[in-house]
Amino acid sequence: MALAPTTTIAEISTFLRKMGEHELADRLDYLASDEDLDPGESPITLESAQAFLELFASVEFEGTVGLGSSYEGWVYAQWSFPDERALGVWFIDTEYMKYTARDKTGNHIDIEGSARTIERSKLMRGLVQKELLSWRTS
Amino acid sequence: MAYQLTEENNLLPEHNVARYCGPRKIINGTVAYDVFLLRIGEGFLSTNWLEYFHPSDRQFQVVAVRNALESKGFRVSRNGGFAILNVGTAVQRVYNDSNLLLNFRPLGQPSDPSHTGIFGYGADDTDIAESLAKSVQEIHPAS
Repeated sequence: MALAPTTTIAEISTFLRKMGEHELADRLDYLASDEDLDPGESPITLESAQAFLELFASVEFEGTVGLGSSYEGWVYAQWSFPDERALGVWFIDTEYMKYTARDKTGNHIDIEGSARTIERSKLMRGLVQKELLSWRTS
Repeated sequence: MAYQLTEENNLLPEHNVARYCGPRKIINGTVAYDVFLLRIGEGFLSTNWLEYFHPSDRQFQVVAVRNALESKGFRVSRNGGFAILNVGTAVQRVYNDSNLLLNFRPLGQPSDPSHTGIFGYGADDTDIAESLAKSVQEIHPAS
């Protein structure tokens, strides 16, 4: 499914629903609301949600992904795999992401040295190269 | 390699701490790694020492932590939870994963004597946050 430009989080949720990802869409709507916000915590930002959708719509993976949010309003995605792999990504904006990842042997992965905040395109390529994600083929 | 706790003000390996997790940070019943990620400018991660309240009754300990937080004005969501970390297990896991020795220290504040901090990592140490999340032994409902 081609990724159309989105200008609201509601449009992003709608796109996820069209992909059949109703739970993720519901969770994104919840994270964009004021519900359950701790003091000082912000709802997710549009840029962060856009960055999540761009990654999610571009890749395939084994296992499942769930969503949370940071105090800053970044979408946070956490993947569960059927083996030792692990992946957590903070979508700071449309340019940068923060991550932590483990490979199949359970070791933490470096994609750009020890830096854990890197450009989105570099992170996506690195996660594919390290076999956590693969490019979506359909 | 087993680590050694040398500073006399560290919690002992057999001790346990609780970290509050808001509902946005519990993902499919597990704790988001984000729960253990420091924010920029934070020098330590706030936790509460369970054995301060009772040597072993977990339910009593968790209720006491909730009361301690609420008495300081902290809002504990009914849909949130408390992630329990055993000090020895968490320190050993982080050491094995990242060769870094964390410290769990009581902060001894009059308003919350159970307040403890996890020291030794920074706001960009996502791998440490993940290792700590993987060390969580129990999650207790906040309500």
